[in-house]
Amino acid sequence: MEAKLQEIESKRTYLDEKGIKSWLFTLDHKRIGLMYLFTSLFFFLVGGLFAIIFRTELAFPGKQFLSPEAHNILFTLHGAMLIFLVIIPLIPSALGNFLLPIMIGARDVAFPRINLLSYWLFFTGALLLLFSLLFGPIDTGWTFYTPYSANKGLNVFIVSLAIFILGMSSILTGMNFIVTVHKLRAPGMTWGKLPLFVWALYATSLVQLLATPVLGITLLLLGMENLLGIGFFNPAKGGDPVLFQHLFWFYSHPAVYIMILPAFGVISELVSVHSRKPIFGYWFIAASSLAIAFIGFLVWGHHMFVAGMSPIADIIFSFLTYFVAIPTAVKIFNWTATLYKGKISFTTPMLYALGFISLFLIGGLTGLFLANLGTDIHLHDTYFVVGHFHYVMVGAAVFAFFGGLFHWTPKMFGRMYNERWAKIGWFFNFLGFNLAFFPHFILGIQGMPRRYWDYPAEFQSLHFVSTIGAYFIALGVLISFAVFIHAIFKGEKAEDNPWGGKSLEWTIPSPPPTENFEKIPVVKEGPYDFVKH
Amino acid sequence: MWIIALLPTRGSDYAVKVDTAFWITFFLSLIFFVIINFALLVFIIKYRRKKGDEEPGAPISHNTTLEILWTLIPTILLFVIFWFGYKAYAEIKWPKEKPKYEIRITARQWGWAAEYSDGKKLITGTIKDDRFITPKDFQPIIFVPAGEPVQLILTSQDVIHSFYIPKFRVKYDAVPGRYTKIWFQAEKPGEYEVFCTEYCGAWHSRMPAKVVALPPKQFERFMMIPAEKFNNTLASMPLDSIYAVLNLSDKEFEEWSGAQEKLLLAMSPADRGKVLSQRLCQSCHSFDGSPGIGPTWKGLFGHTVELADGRKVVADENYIRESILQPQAKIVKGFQPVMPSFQGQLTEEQISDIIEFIKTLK
Repeated sequence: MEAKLQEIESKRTYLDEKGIKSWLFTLDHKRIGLMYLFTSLFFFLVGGLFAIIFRTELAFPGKQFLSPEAHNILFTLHGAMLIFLVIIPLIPSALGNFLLPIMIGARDVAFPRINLLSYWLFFTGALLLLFSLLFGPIDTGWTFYTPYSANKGLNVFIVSLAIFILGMSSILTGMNFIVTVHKLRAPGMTWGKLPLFVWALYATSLVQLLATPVLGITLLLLGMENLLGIGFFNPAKGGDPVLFQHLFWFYSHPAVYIMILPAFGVISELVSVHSRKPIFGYWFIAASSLAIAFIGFLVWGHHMFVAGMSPIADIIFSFLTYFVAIPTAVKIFNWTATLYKGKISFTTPMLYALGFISLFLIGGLTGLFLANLGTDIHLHDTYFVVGHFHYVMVGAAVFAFFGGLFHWTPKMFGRMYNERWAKIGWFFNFLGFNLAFFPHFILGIQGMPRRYWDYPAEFQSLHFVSTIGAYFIALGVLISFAVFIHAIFKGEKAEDNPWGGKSLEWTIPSPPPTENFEKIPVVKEGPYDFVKH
Repeated sequence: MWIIALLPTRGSDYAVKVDTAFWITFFLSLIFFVIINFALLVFIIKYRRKKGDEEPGAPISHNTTLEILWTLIPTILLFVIFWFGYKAYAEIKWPKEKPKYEIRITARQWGWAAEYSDGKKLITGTIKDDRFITPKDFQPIIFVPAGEPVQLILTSQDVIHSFYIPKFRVKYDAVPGRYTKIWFQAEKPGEYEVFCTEYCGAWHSRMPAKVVALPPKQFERFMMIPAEKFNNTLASMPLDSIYAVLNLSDKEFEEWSGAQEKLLLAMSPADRGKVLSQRLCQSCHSFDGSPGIGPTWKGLFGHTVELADGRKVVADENYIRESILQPQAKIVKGFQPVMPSFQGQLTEEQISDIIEFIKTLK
């Protein structure tokens, strides 16, 4: 009798417990992952809406309906929200929290309570960012360059406090994941059997743990400068504005890898599973994640080639930057080679993965122009840079997220999404993205500076195309969100392993039971050992 | 070929080096782009999974030789790209000959001020209105000789700005509290747009300016004009008038540069003040009584002004002069203390020209 009760108990899924408290105080990594997911998706829509508003203003030269002040506030909030509240947490904290323990055969992360604390710190930071709007929205750009941001007073102080708190959340999550990967792997789960998504999360966590404290210090200094009037970065008080840039990019360049490494991990899973083939060059991909995480710390100066650094520093930073390109190129070759002689299914996750490779390739190659000392002086702070990082942050990171979201929706909710509509959403995202951001490269090459409220008429046609592209993205995102929401509530029941995946999450029921595994598995096969039936 | 027109027209010798680096990076990137996309396309067509086929793909897990190759080849190509970028950079950092002319440029929110070593000064302002900017909004900020290197020394009096001349492929930040340098050499006479490329606040997009490259003879003339005379006359005039003076016949030019009176006749102080005010002041101070960021100038002169601290002062010459040089000293009731100081940017004559112009706005 007792044994039977236990059996029933263990078959309960993590979604069964009802009530708001069961979510707010949950220690279950899966539920915490979902809370991250929905919080981030909310800000995804808000930040995206801001972009739609100022892109509409920019469709034509001259003033349409936004004052320059309003435009500057919108692009600042667009950047700050989408970077700190969406792209940084989206894959690692949402999908990562859900999947990492399951993928290594654990019942939870190493410190479930700290995990909950991470989420609530994140939530507090996000609320504080919204709250700061009451004190007059900031218009400093998400980069907060001093001295422009140095004498703004309370609102910049509150925003830096908000991001400081978000940073603490990020540090705790990173620490939690590192310990989890080291300590909670199931018997037989050697480092060589870790799914590449876990390798990517591990590399990301290292960067989060080591780089984020520097951001915290920087924003603390900026906050003190604004609140107490201490002139760390104000030349009028003997400070140095360029010092701020060094400190800021020492975090914010590695932060680029916090955003993109988890995406690499997702793509490795998708490409392999949806072509039913072992990932090509497992060790090269795993090692390149670590290499990128390491080299990423040495290249921050490439944001400052025209800021007044010494020429020797410029040359060294340019040289080192090319070393990031090498492991990145290796990954692209490996994903492409994985498709060779595969059995490729055109599922939505696979379409996102293919879209990712193609778009990330453009994002990466255009990076070469910016690492290049000669061309960067021309292209720095033009639309070329905006195009480049949107191809990386959206074309790559957000596409990987959508791919991962649809790939694991059946696992997370035990329900299938509507394949046809998900593909329609993909189509608008892909088309809209290229329409919106490819023109940015041409605009930048022709000398269109970024963060402009207005521009000479010669740039008009490309701006107009870009705005139309932005509307297509909005349509694609809304369709994709609708497909996702529909799947959660009305989707058909999904099989436990609809894609034929080999990693551990596909061996347990969908949605997973609270404890993930009834019995901790003993791992014998690798995550990509697809075998003949 | 449209693709050649991708980069803006080249205006400087240095631009050739940048464009070389650009096209080398472009074609190497294009090769990789084509290879990867071609492979993707072939693979997804050729290795589609047929319906009902549940077998896995070929068990190929790696190929060390291939992987080492595709690590090494890109590494070598990346060094090539780095090298061409370095060559262009070395040229802009370490000019082969020392530039003969040095011009100091001070950025502010939102405009530029230039000063030559002989004391010639030019200043541009903010275009604050709803229409879009047109070529004539790009006011001349520096005159340079075509075919000769010129050094700019940049700084800022408030936040960071960046001085960007797309056609020269040159850009550098103007940082408060330090001096930064760039040099360039204009290939041909002409006018070259200048944009600010470091975000500096509300009107970041509205501080257009231009570099005017003159043929050697005209530039020689430009340099011959005594600084004081230039600042009092041409500096406040439209570009066409400046060209007209520089294009005078030798005799006429001699006469002109010798006879200040003649030019003063040509343009009254109030007229010069008007041109200057339209460029620098009108974005905040209306001339016709309509409201603005600052008080209107209509009917200002000689009338009593109420200040924020309750005092009342008469708007005379000294009051206006003080308001231009130390705008925070007396704040008019109902307005914010936001006006930047023009100390060191306007000559005494230009200030008195502006005062004369305000006097005419009855």
